[in-house]
Amino acid sequence: MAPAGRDRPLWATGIRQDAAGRAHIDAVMGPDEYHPVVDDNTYTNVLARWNLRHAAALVEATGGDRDEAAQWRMLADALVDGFDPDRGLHEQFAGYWNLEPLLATQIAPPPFTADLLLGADRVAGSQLIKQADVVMAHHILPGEMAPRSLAADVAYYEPRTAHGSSLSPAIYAAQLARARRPDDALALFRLAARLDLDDTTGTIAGGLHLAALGGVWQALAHGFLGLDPTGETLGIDPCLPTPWQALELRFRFRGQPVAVQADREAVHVTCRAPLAVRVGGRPPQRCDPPHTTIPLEATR
Amino acid sequence: MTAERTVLACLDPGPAARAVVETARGIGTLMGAAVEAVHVGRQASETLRTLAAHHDVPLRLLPPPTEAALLGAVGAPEVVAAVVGARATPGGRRPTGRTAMAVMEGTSRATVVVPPEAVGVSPRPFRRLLVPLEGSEESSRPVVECLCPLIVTEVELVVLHVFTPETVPRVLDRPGRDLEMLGDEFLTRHCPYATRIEWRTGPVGTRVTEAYDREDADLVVLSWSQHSSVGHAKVVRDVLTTSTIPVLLLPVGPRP
Repeated sequence: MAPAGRDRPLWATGIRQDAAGRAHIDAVMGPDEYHPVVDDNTYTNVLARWNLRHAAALVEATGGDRDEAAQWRMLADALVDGFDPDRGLHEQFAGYWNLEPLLATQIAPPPFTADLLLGADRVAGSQLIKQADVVMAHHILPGEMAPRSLAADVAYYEPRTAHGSSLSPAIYAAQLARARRPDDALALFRLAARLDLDDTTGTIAGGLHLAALGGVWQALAHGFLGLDPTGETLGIDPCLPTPWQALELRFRFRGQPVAVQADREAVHVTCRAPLAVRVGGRPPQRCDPPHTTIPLEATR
Repeated sequence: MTAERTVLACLDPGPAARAVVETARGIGTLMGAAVEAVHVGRQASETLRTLAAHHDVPLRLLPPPTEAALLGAVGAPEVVAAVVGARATPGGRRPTGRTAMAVMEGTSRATVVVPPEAVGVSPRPFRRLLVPLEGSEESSRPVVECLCPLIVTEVELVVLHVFTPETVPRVLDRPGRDLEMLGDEFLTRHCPYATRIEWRTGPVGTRVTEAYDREDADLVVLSWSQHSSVGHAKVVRDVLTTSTIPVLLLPVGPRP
């Protein structure tokens, strides 16, 4: 994706508008490589929309061409995002609903490489997907997705996912946890965490799967612990799987080292300077150094 | 040392006789072995005698009964491989006769099963062997420990692995790169003598047949358990049924 700024965003020139004024992005490949050339991939369109809006905001904030920024905002607003209100789901790309309705477990226990087993053409004509696609959009830009669509999208796409990419299980683990299915999340988290230990890919001789390991950390942070670093307030919304008694992560937030531990009863925040946190759906509250305990009961 | 090695061409008057002799000569060259023809009976037909003489192969008569005589000859210490004919008619689907099957199942030596269509494969030196491997130590060991040390000529070993739902890679981030890495690993573990590996998916027997044709291979090499009854050795039975080139069978038992 092109950087925003003085240059025009890539998407400003790559979008087609139809007679009704809706905007489309044709002939792209989303994260799911089993469907290599598709129109209106939800993941791509959502990221493009975010990119256009942020580019416009940046141009406006830096004294750039406001007319052009306004044009980008119009394009962003007109971009279809695949959300089907009748189903309450995002369609991965235009025409996905009409593909052969195959579930992964009908072929083999995931993870497996469906394109090798069935052939690329058969897989491309089916609803089997290689990895998180719509669900990846939820992971990267949750605020850009239709409200309350996460649980339905995860429930729909996970059975159709072969997890034939090492990047997939951790992302699903994170989003299953966000969808309040922590025990289902744990199964995929374990698959992701043990990917190299078990040589699941058969390519360990070539090195570690660092992006997958990054996904493991994200599943812990954004999934099970529910960290949301957007803005100046740190969001915390833990959702622990049954076998876990507690989860603690140490990280830096807005420059200061922070530790967050969540157990069944409370969230414990350790910081060096006053910190605004938002636990669950509660309003932001102040955490004073060095330790603050926030009971969880009141948040549920 | 190699002069002591012998390849036995087991001749009968069937349509594969010429192909058997030619293949035996090819195997003899491949393994640095002398070639001897054997025939069970009090005398050989003029056709068999002429065939052996034409290929400069000595012909020895063995006293009946057929199966015991052949197994006894094949079991001699200098014998490294037996070559037997398959199928009654070119293009016929009866894979192997009773005698050939008895040799295949009863000997610890390599057995080469030759269909009538294999005429003309030899005396051209074998250039390329197709080695289907399932990826188990049991099936790889005979190739690595028994066959490869016998080969004395420059020949290309092409390993074929046919993915099944049980063996298909679970993850391929970048298929081209990852399959290359998987191939290197597979060959290191299972057949370091091989030049390269080919991947396929689908029914194994069919894929083997397609692959030897595409690769222009001279010989298919299969390890097998020597149990040909229903429920066993399906790949071997499938390949023997359809192959038009010789098939070398290596028992997975103790090293000969």
